Amino acid sequence: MPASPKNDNTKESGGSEQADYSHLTQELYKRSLELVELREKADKLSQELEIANDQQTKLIHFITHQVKGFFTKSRNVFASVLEGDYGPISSETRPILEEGFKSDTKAVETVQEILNAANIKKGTLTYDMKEIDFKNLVSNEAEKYREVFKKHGLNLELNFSEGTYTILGDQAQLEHVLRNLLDNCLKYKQLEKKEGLVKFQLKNTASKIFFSIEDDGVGITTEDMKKLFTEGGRGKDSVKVNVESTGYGLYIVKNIITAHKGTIRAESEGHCKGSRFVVELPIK
Amino acid sequence: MDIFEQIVKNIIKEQERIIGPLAWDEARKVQGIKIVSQFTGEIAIDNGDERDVVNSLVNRYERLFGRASHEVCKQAVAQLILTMPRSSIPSSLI
Repeated sequence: MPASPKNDNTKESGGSEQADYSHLTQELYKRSLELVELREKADKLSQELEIANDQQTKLIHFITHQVKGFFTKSRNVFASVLEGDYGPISSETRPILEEGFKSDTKAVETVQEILNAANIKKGTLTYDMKEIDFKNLVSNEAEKYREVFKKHGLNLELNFSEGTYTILGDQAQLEHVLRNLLDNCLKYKQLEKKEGLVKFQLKNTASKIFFSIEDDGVGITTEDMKKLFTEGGRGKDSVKVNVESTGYGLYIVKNIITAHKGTIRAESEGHCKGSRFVVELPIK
Repeated sequence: MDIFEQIVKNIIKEQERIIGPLAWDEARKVQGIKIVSQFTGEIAIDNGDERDVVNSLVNRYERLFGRASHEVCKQAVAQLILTMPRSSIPSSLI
């Protein structure tokens, strides 16, 4: 019996569906193959990048160690001459020697900052976690800066709420965090302003400590804000104010706070509007 | 494992990279191929001409996945067939 036209159509459409399906399968195979090849390329590049990063970190480590050694030596020479170990110094020579000492001290600090960042990246920075009173820590560091701030026309205002501020932390590293934030208030002061204000605020909840440091300095532009906590992240505008910035300061700070299971964020309404850094740390 | 079993294994493994375990399912359907262990990748050629078995496997993948899959099969065994006399190489891989 001859096949009805309807049956023929079904047959035809069945054959065409199969061809479509086959075509689709083959296209999918091609795409999968491309994806596999791309993934393998990406894996290879990622491995190469890892090796390059590792080598770069080792090189930075080596260079900074060497450079730090040279600066430390020359700083010690300035220090011993200034202390009179090699006889009396004339009043004309003293300022030059002091300038040399100051410059070498700054250089050692800068190199140390790069070394710290390299250690953080390598994961070799160790933390000596102990029970510490964070309120005490902040208070002590703030008081250390009060005089220097005064010399630069910065007034310090402390606002600490009552309560317990015991945390599990590395005292030396947290002091480093506070010093960095305090130094930034000095570095980013608005030079045209005679007087400035730095506000410290400390409060707590049952589980967290909120610490903030607010200044009325040059502020942070939206563009600089994006790079603020990144490695070597020297902001376009901030570098105009602080030409010696290594770009590692806040990167180190963020890593230290993260290692304490805390968070740090920056707030600023923009250029010349001041800035505020807020740190949250868990209470022990 | 003889050279033909090695060829079959290389082809399945290479296809597995792209289409996953389906490569093993399809290989199982080829007459003459016995998957001893998918986990260790151990296979055996049961009967028939070994070259025909390889050709059937390559053709099966090509029928399903097109020319690209044929090229993948060739690449998978390129090193292996280097040492084989031309007359022994399955025609689908030349």
